[in-house]
Amino acid sequence: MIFSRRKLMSKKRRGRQRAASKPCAAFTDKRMEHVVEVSHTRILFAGAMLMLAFGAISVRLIDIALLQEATEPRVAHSTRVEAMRMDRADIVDRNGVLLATNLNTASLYANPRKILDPNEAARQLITALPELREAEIQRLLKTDRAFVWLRRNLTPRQQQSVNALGIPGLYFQSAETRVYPNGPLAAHILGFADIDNRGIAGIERSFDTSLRDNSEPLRLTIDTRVQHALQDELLKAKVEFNAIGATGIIMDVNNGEILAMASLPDYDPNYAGQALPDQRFNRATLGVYELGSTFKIFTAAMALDYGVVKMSGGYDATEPIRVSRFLIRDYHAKKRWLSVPEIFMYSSNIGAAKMAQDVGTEAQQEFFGQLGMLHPARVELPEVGAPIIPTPWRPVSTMTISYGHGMAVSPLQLVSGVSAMVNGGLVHRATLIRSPSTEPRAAKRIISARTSLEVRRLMRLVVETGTGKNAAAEGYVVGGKTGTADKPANGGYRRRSLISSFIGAFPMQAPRYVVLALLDEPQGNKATHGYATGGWVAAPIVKRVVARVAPLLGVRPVDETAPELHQVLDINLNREGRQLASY
Amino acid sequence: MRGAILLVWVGLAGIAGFALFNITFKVEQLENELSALNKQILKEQNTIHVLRAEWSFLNRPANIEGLARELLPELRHPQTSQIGGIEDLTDTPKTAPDGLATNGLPISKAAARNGQ
Repeated sequence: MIFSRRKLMSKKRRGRQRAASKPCAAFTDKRMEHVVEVSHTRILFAGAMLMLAFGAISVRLIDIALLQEATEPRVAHSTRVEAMRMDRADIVDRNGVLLATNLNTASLYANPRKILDPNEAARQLITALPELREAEIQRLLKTDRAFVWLRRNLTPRQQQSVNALGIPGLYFQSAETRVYPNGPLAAHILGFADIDNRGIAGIERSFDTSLRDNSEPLRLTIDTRVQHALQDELLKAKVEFNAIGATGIIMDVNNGEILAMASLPDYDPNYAGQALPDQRFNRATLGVYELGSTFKIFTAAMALDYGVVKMSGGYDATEPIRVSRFLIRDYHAKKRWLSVPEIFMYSSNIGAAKMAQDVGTEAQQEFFGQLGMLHPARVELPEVGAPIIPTPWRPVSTMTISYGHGMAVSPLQLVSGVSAMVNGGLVHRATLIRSPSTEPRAAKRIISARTSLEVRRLMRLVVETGTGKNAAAEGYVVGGKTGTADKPANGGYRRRSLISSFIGAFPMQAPRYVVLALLDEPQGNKATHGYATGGWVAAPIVKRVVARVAPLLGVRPVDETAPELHQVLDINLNREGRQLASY
Repeated sequence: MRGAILLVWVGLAGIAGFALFNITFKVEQLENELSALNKQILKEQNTIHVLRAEWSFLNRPANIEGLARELLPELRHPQTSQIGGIEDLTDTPKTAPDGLATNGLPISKAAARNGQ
């Protein structure tokens, strides 16, 4: 453009020179000048237009190349992909085994207005989904609605079959479904979530918010293998003794972590809607029972710790005790003076009642209060039963509670209490959530380490020579206490309806785990000579469970005749001057 | 001179324009690739998630036990006597590879004792 202008200017000058030399050409020059001016303007205009067009293109180019990033989809531009996020976080066991997860599934729905032939569509549909009923599908497809659910949560194969039918008016909706790959295993701990992924029971309910908000899996203290062993042995015993229910717990005595907790009958949380109330009832935490002689562990610990009696001391158990309408008597009556170890070994109610009498009502209340037995158990489950405690707490209550009657607690409370009795005297809060920190959990002392050792000796005595012989798992130095209680009914007790239990700990020289097995209304059989007491029906469960889980938990079997064990667990049985080696 | 400068500027503008377009197209192409890869990663993550659930389902202790009962009928729970630590193992095998009874002795000594 500048070039052309210069050309024009030179032309102008040349024109003027010509005009000066040739006056006749003045008119022609003027005209030429006009033409040049017009051309000049046009060229300028065209140039401006071109500048504008290029300017617009440049602006658009910069816009597309540099400025449009913000409106692009996030995934396309992100240099790293976000981890997959489900509506609900997974739940895993202590070893990372998946216990609950969300999976994407397709659900089938129909728009009946778009179905051409409902009868034919229904007929075809049941060939792909035989579990549906043709008449019901026909009825749904004939409605005047625009949306009807036909089947929720199809498997990929079912979805493919339905797709292959090619029926117009059928659609799939993708949704997340909570899946429990282990089925009934630990069902009462996990609980379940409803169709909208809201926690309804168990851990699913207690941790509903955090499971929705977090993507990190929730790690439980449960060990799937241990849980299976416990559940399996309980089920076998329940069937063998025709019990109406069973429950069992395995707890780490040194931190209160629950490694396994089972309640039978159980249910499959994948089909929680089909479970009966009895199946959904968690006997381990929600059920409260009068647990019988297992409470003698607390009575003995209390009496020894408060110093009202020594291991060498004892009580006269010759005659039953009659207090108001109660008759306190012994099932394995020896009808003589019994030392403390003997009271424990023969499970003497008379001896325990007298021991508790010496301790006193207030001290007993305080002791059980410190053990957490006067309030619902503190555990991360919504299904927790409140203990039934006597009000008022009369002296007779003190006596009956000493052998586990007149006060009902949950099996979990019993296990927590016994853990504190054998672990050196520290009460830990029971927990189902595995802590990532290796710091020792908070605990409060309830009995001295010395008393705890004496309790362990007593518990070992029961398995070695007393009512719990059937719990002796070879090599694992099991100690424990049997419990057999009549079930209360109509203000009294039903003699033939028992709660038979055994609570054991192992290895007794340095306890690591407490194991409880409890059967609800077991029936004796030929193998047990008709007995359905804790020693006959529950102790063998503990024996088998310990033998199965100890190797999994890294507990090494030991030589039970080793002198080191004798040294730790020997007990002086003050019976006519004889010493009983019980270790 | 001025014409030359102008030419240089026009040339530079052309090169810059070409480079800008070229980069834009390349970025677009890479973004498409990244998007496809991200989609693939998400798909793989979903597959792994499903496989983990399936693994857990197939590894149900009850399932393993059932399979063991069916396929390994002689398999029993271990006895206490069968459980021990690595330190319980003797240095030498009870029977040497050629069938020589060693009774816990080193093979050379056992062989010498047996006159071999």
